[in-house]
Amino acid sequence: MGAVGERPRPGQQASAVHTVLVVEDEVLVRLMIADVIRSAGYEVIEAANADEALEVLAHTHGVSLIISDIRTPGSLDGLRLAQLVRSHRPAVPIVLTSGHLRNVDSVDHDGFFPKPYDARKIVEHIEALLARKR
Amino acid sequence: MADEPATRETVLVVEDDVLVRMPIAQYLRDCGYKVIEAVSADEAMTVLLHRETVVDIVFSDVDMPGSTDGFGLSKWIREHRPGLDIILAGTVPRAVNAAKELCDDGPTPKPYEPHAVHDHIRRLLAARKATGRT
Repeated sequence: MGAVGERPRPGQQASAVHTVLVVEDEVLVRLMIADVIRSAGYEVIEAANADEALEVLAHTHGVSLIISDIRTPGSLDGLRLAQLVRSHRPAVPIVLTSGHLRNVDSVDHDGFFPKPYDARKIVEHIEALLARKR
Repeated sequence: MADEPATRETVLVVEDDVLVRMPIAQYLRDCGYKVIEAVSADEAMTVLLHRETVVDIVFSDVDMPGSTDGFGLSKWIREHRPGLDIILAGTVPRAVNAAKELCDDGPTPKPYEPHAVHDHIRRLLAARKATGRT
């Protein structure tokens, strides 16, 4: 767990202002990816499903990027969450992950990582996406 | 990383309401703790059974969905992890005060005003009520 203990790198202060919303129902996966992203210098809000993610998005304004698993329990899944984010928060990139699907071309998104994924690759992807927003 | 305390205790926060869990977890992180978030007693038990994850203190809500509640989790911990501290906080004010006590003794004691955290949570919950979400 938390294999990327080397981060954050010096001079990465700008990323500290960014908040990443992680949506994942498997607690050990959520713990691992949240830990790695925090170690990279980002604030992380954890949601266990898409319903919780909508709660967070409705009551906070600082989410810079979302990483969501596709198959989550609750009233909507990660694909529907991605559609809602595109409609209501078009400036917020959404990256999808899945242990079941191999592609998610049916919805607009900003990256897809099949599980098991390398969390460091996700962090690199986050950095690239957020760098474009600056 | 260099300015982090050498011994950074880990608090497992168990709370099913994201609008309560999010500020409490952030509050404890600001006090210097490493925080793991679980949305149910079942998730908490999964974390506690995971050998690679070290937990020093469990901070749990009482009334939660799932196979057992906070009392059941407490009983399970007594049986499976004797010696592990568990704090049960049945209401938001009690949770906030318990968090304050942890912060007072924490790695980075901060002069937080618990009423401010409580007010923040109350505002989040009131906003949810106003928008009709339960």
